Amino acid sequence: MNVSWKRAFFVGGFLAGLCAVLGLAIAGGDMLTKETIARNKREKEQSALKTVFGENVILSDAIEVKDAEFPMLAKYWTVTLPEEGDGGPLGRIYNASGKNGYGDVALLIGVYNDFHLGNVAVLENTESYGQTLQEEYLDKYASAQDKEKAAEEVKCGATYGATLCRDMMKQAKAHYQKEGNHE
Amino acid sequence: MSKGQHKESFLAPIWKANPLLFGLLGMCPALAVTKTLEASFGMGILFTLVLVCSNVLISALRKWIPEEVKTPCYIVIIATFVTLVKMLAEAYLPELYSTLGVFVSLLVVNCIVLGRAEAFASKNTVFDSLLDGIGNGIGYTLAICLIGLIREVLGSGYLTFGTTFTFLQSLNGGNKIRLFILKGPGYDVSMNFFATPAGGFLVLGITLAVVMAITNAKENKRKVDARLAAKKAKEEAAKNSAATEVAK
Repeated sequence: MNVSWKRAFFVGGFLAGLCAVLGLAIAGGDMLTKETIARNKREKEQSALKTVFGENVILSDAIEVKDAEFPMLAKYWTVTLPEEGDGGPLGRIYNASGKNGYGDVALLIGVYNDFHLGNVAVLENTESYGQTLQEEYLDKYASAQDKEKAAEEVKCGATYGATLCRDMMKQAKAHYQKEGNHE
Repeated sequence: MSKGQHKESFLAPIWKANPLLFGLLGMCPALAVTKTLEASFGMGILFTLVLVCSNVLISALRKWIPEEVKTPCYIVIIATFVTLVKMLAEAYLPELYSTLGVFVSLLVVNCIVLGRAEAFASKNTVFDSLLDGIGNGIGYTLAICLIGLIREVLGSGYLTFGTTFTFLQSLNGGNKIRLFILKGPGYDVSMNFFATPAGGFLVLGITLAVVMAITNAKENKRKVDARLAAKKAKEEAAKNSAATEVAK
């Protein structure tokens, strides 16, 4: 066999072996940590759910969103008041997540039964402009009286992240409207 | 390598060959995550873990890694350790993970980690590479902690502990520990500007200038001392030769 072929086999074999070993190491790390990571996420979600419509509401079980028209939405909870009469549900909380070139963002978005936006809780914000996104968009949104207007104010120093959040909110509203109008 | 060289490869990166302050490497996280001292320290720990592990493995494999594909091999090894460190941080230090965000993943392309792999670990023993990794990790951590300390104190007026490392809250009855320095009851001389990215640039620039000034002052002192010693030796020699002449 030609020497250069032998060398090519050695290099290829070495790379394959290295990748296999390192892949196994990553798989081992994943096995060790995935339950803890999932538990952390669940706990964070449970505590964040209480901040969207307050603690004194009743949440349904989570319902998965399977509609391909709303790719950012994962699931939602229907919110009702404990002493509810015949007014129907108070609204919904949507779990939405998205990704851009700077990182990931996941939110819990409250939508009232009149299809107006409510409070938003942050589950994940690993954007490189995450701090700016939090301070200049999400915090301003949280303190705004007019949530619809605040959601549209995306020019904030973290425009891509803010646009991502706005799109999640729009999808949450649109999904509720679509289902609400059919109910 | 002799014992002195082992010591040198560990101690040099902490001050006189500090990768950030003298090498001007790893500037991106040094600007982005140094808003608080805690976040800077957390970044330093993760950076040190990645650097030490990748240095050790690359050094252990240095005789087998083919020359043609050495850079891809280094990147794959570094990326593996970054992934593992990221998983561990997400599982056991979730607040730190969310504070550092995408900058943990960006350690894969950190020029210090790749630079030490190429310049040191690929040419030295496992033990020396371990020492080099620890030394560079400590040096980088100290440098970003210094910037984080200055920015947090000037920007917010106080130092807060327990935000990123939440277990510290147990030391203060479940509350964050806050040390008021420039801000407190009745006074506030903090400047929020230093918490912004522009403030980060300014603090980094001033820190580098001060470090350079100290180094230059030390170097100048050494030169002046050497010149004085040479002059003194010359005078002594002249005096001795004059005495010899008189004696003759």
